[in-house]
Amino acid sequence: MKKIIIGIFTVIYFAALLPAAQLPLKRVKLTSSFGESRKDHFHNGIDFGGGEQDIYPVMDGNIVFYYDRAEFPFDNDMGSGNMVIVQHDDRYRSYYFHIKEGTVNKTHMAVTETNVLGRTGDTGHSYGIHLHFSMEELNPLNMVNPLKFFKDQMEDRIRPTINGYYVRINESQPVLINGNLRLKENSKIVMILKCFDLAAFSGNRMGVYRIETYVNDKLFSDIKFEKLLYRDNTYYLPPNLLFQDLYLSKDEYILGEFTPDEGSHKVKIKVSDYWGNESSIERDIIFNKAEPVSEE
Amino acid sequence: MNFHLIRTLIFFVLFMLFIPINYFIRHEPFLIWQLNKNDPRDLKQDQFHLAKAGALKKYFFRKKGMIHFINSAGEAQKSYSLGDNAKVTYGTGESGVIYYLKDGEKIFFLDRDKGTTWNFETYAYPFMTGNESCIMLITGENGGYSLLDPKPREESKFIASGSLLVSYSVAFHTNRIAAGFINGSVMCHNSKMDTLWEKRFKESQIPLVKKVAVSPRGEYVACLAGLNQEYLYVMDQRGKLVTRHMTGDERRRPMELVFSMDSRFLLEESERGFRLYKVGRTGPVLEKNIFEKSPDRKMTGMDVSHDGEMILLSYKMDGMSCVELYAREGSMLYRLLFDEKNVRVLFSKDKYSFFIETGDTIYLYGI
Repeated sequence: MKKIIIGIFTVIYFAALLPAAQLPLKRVKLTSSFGESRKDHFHNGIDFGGGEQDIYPVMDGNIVFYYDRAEFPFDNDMGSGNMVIVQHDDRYRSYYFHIKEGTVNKTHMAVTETNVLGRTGDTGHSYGIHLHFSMEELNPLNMVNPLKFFKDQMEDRIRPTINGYYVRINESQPVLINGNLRLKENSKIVMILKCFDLAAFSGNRMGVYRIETYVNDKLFSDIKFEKLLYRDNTYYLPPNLLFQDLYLSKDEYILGEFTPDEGSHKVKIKVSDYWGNESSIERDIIFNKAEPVSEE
Repeated sequence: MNFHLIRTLIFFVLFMLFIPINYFIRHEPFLIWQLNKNDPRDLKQDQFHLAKAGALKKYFFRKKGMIHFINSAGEAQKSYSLGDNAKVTYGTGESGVIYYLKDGEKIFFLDRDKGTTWNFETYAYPFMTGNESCIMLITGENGGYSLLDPKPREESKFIASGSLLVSYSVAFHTNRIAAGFINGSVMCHNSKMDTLWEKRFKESQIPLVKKVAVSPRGEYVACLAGLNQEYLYVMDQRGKLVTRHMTGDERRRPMELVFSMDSRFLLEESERGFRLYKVGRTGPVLEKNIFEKSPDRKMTGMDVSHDGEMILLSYKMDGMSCVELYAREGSMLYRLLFDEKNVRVLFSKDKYSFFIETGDTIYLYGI
């Protein structure tokens, strides 16, 4: 009996933590991932393709803000284009961007999951019809990976692709390492991984969800796009990674730096998407003062 | 000297000083000139807009890849070709410069007299605003922005990739830029890309900023923020809050907020009209609240004259576009009707004349 009661309370507790949400579109094609590179800042949401269609609130809530450029025809575009922002109690805000002209819902304040917020479009800074969707925690203010709410409603079986493992030695240009790396001198190594995830739904190249780096079987770094923390007017990937600390370019992730001791060091890198599909590579970094620098 | 004549003259001068100036202005606006376009235009593809660019009497409009500078008499002065895929953002400020984006990633700096003087490569920032001291480059969805010193240099500073930017404003005469964010904060920068101050508004719920405006000389930053209860906040140069006024509105969209050119008045679009505030030493104080009971009016624009004595409104109703001219004390002086979808109104900078821009035409009216 005690176990049943504990089980019931556990279910209630976890149910309260993560509210149930529906996908904002009926036809869903994931085209961009959370946290991926946008040249000089993190992508703070996900993008859905799937053609022109109605947009629905992911949960019941209130429309707290909308922008319809038809009301400001002489203004410069906002990058988000036409948009609607829905607040769900005091916990979350959801953002819907690039809404088609003439379709923004201005009549409702309270909305349920059956109300239409607008139609997907390409207003604002957009290269085609799509929905940019973001989810924000309000206390504290953080952007969360929206897939957290939709994971079970979508499926992906394609593993991420690893294009290459690079190192930068003592501020030199990054060098692709196909085999093992041998060092003669005590050097600072910056490890860089080039990888992407291919969206099963659209075939688009997207950012990955997680990169775990192990050195000598110990966790060296864990890059995980679960949420973006908002602090000092910018976003950090937990715990303290700024965009420029993480990205060398669109598909190139800076894993971290270390100065190896003399000896052999096994580096293992695991890359995964949100559904746990995983790819990995292994390399050895061998530092021996008596031997010349080379790559095997 | 005739004592009675002198006394009469003195009383006459004193009498004149206390009569509101609009009594001596023709209340019926008269058309000075109009510019027609030859071809119909698509609002989405080719913005035909008139802006207070530069110092007195410098205006420009863009039409199909060309920039045309005109004077206040409507006479074309200089024209430049930008190419079909140039996206123009007008610069404000004294010098009359214009920035335009080409090919998505190059910013060109166009001086009215010298033509294109330099260009700068950057990321694909699609939106810009600025003055001769500072360019603000606004990113796409995240709402972050960069500030750039408009001299030929490579360095720029990315300010924020944080909360969604919903409104920005550049001071006309000086190097102040204000930005308002959904998370309820307002930031103010100078042309050296320094953040001078940041203000976060804490009301009963997580607030959001809907509109910001900087006074032309940078003395004040005004913003409208709030969820269920909306407030007008005004900060001074140091970011100190000088005014907090509950508007009584519950709006979920951006609205107009504009200072007069002499910074003495602040005009706020309300749900069905406008509110005029007089800016004193301790900040703006509400002077007039004009509203129209008809719910069918859809406001499309407003502006205040350089000295705050006249207010222009434009709105849509029953398929027509209307422009109304008000005196500061609240009386409507005139109404013009246009068989147009959208109109925009803009006072000239230093005298009682105003522009009306429609889809195909620019009109200059005198008062």
